[in-house]
Amino acid sequence: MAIESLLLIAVFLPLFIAPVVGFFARSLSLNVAWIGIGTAITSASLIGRIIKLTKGLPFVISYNWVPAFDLQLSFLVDGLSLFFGLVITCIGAFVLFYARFYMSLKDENGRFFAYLMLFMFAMLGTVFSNHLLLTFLFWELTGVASFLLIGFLYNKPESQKGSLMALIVTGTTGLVMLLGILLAKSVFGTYDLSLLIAQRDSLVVVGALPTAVMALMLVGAFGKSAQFPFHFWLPNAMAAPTPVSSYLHSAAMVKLGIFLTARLFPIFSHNPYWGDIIVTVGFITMLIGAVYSILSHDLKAILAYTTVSQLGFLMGVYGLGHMQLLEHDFFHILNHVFYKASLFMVAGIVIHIVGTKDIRKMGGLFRIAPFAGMATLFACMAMAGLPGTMGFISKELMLETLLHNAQSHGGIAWVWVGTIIMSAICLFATSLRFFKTLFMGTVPLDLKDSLHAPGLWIQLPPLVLASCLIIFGLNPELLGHALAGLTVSGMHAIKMSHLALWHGLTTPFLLSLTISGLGVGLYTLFERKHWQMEIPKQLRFDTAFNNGLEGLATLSKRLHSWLRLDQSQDYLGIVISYIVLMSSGFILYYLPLSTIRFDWIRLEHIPATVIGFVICVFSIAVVTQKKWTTRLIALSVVGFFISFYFVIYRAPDLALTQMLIESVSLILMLLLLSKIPKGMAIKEEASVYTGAKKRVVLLISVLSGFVMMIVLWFLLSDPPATKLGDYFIDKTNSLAGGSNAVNTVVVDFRGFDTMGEISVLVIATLGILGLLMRWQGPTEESK
Amino acid sequence: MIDTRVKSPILAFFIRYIFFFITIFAVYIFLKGHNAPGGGFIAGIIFAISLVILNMALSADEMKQILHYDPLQIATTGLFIAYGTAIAPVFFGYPFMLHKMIHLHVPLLGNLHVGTPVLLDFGVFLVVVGVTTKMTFTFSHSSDSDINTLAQDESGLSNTNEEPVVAPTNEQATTE
Repeated sequence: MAIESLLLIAVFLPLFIAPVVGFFARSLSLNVAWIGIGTAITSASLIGRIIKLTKGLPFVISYNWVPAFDLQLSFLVDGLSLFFGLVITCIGAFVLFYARFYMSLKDENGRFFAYLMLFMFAMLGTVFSNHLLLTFLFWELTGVASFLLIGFLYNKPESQKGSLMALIVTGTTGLVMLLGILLAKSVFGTYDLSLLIAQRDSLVVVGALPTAVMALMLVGAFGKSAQFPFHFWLPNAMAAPTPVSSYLHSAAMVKLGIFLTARLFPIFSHNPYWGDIIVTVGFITMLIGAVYSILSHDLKAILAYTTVSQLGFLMGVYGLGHMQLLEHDFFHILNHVFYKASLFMVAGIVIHIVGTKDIRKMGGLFRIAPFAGMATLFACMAMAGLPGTMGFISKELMLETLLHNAQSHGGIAWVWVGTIIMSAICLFATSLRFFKTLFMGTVPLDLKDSLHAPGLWIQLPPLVLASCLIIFGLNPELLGHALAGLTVSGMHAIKMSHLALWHGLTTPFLLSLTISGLGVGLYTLFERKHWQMEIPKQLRFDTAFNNGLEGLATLSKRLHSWLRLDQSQDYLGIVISYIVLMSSGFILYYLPLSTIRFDWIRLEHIPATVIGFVICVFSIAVVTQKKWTTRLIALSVVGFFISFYFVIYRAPDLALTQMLIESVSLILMLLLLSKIPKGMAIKEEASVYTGAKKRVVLLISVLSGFVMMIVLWFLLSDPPATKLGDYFIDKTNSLAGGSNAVNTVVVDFRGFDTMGEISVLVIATLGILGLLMRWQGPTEESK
Repeated sequence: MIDTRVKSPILAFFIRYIFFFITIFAVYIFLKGHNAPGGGFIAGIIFAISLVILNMALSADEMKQILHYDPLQIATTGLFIAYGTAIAPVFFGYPFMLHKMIHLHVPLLGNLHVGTPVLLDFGVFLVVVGVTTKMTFTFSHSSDSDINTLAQDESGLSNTNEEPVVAPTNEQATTE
């Protein structure tokens, strides 16, 4: 097959499978996951085939989609997108396998797996898209899919809060990114990423506007990747089921920010601010995440903060690369993907075993879940950066780059060396704590009876993923060879330095030893204090965010109660007096009274005049009568006589409609009035308005009537030369194929209006329902 | 469950039969709409009136059995039919909302002109029926203090975190 079809199938297969999964979930229940796993493996193998076919050369597939917006369905196949595509599909397969055994039969499995497939599609679309607008579309689609997944258990308040927070933060930063994209179009003249990358040498990226483009797009990346100051949404997104956490929040979605940074690297890395912005944000995030992780006690929150820390680290990799080209960024990413996905899976298993999330209440689980224990051991070793794991190599490489950088530049570069050492110490202590508390020691007494051992299959995915850390940690060249085929020109160095397990007794190695020692020290210190520390309240950005949201709601409520009138009919006075002012002002300013003529009055108007007179009489009766039954009858008479008007002026449709509307409103009013308590009904009869208010209302009414009369007089004195109605009546048969012009106007000539109107009708009904359902009728005593 | 049916047995009996005639009239008005007075909107209101009248003769449970669907579902279905008719031409490469007329010669009935505007009209019909009946039913449930039915509706339609709108208490009513 050609690369085009391979890629299209690989990307769009999950989208088409999503409804299939949802549909078959009823009959297959949990086994529906196998369909998803098959899809993920298919997509992964197709991507693998593409790697073989393209041999690392960039390849663009383009179809016109919306030419009016200059939007193309355009995909860029290069090392970066293929690498991320593989990660997404492979980890997706593992997570689906895990979810097959994690989810319970009671859950709505169809919905869950369908969302996961949708998410996978959105992710693949984002990494492969070649068009900046398309990237944005898929980017936001991942946000929507993650909102659905985080809020999967929608009855739990923390799910509601967490999903909303994730949506608001990533959605808002996504919009900032859109600003950047639109600005990029006007600055660089194209949305095409491959074009931008190809022209990177002739592109002017220095100056105010290109820097603004870069900064705006980086805000989007920072939001998605939970970088400071947006880091707070990730721990709150942990309300999701654990498979979601291990997929979205370690392997996939949060990596999108990293992906975007990598995508923009060839374009913007010559900008002088590129490195400063990314390294500052990334390393602050790294430190904050590491410190918070050691201060947290919720199992998933700990992992979330270590993720935040590691994401900051990965950001930093791209920020530091601006002086030379990148070398082993994929290695760093894979390291994190492997260990974090497996740790999240273990966390899910452990929470299931003990039934609590508080790490302080756990212990001694190795005998119950030996394979999960092994996986945790490997993954924690990688997180701590112990020799023999990928984590060790990753940390050594980073330290080497930083030291090299600091020696040549000095100054602030040394601060970054300090930052990474501090966060490495915190992460070391956290890893030690994670493994020791969960799997070593004895089982706490109060948990002993409630423990139940997990199945074998559910422990398999974390173990496989964690084993990769050791395998590739001991033989880094294995991975190095595979990744060498995925280099991107302009981003990666042409000849990479060799990955090796042992670099000799270098400064980074000595630093590593120090870090390990200090990490153990930090762990013992916290152990002595029995882990009593909490994250300081002032530094909890999520509470601040929630307070801000609540403040916004309070503000709008205050504003509403300030603007609100006590009785809804009072609004009528305001609206009508506005109309009176506007139209009388218009008449006085533009139309001299001399244009009023009387020659349009003819004998044939007599029937209409009679009807008008009747309407006037009954209208006065509506206002002046005391009993509500009389008023209601008078009002109906007015309505029915208006329909006579329509009959005279040859509009049978309108007459019919008018009569029917009268009937419906009569029924509604009777329903209402029959239920009003007697005491209240008598009061209503007296009068709504009294005193000065009554006089004001009277004045407005008389004025509005008078102004309307004048307006009509003007209209009749000077009728428009051509009427739209004539056109419709003329063309109704030839253009719309119906002889009833009213109907053809509604459903054909002006069908778009009708669509809008029926939409408004349904929306208004939803609003009215909110009021009607909540109306707790009058209390028994008042009846 | 509170009995909200009309008290007169004669009226209740009468309503059950007159319902069919009104419905048939609604269908007639709908079908002839394109060439004579009538159409989706008017037919929708007529049908809604017949349902509202029927609601007076039946209990809430019986009504639910007859309707099968929540009126709001009917309204949204109508909305989708209307949107679908409008968007469909785009997929065949025609402009948005282009209509398509079919001229058929049917034995006994004579020449029949059917077009996609009828579908849009049907969408309007469903929306009007759904919206009118939903409002009236909820209104009658609400004024009858039929708490159970309302609570069922509410759980599906509104945010339970919001505070309900409280009716003015006796003191407030007298002071105003």
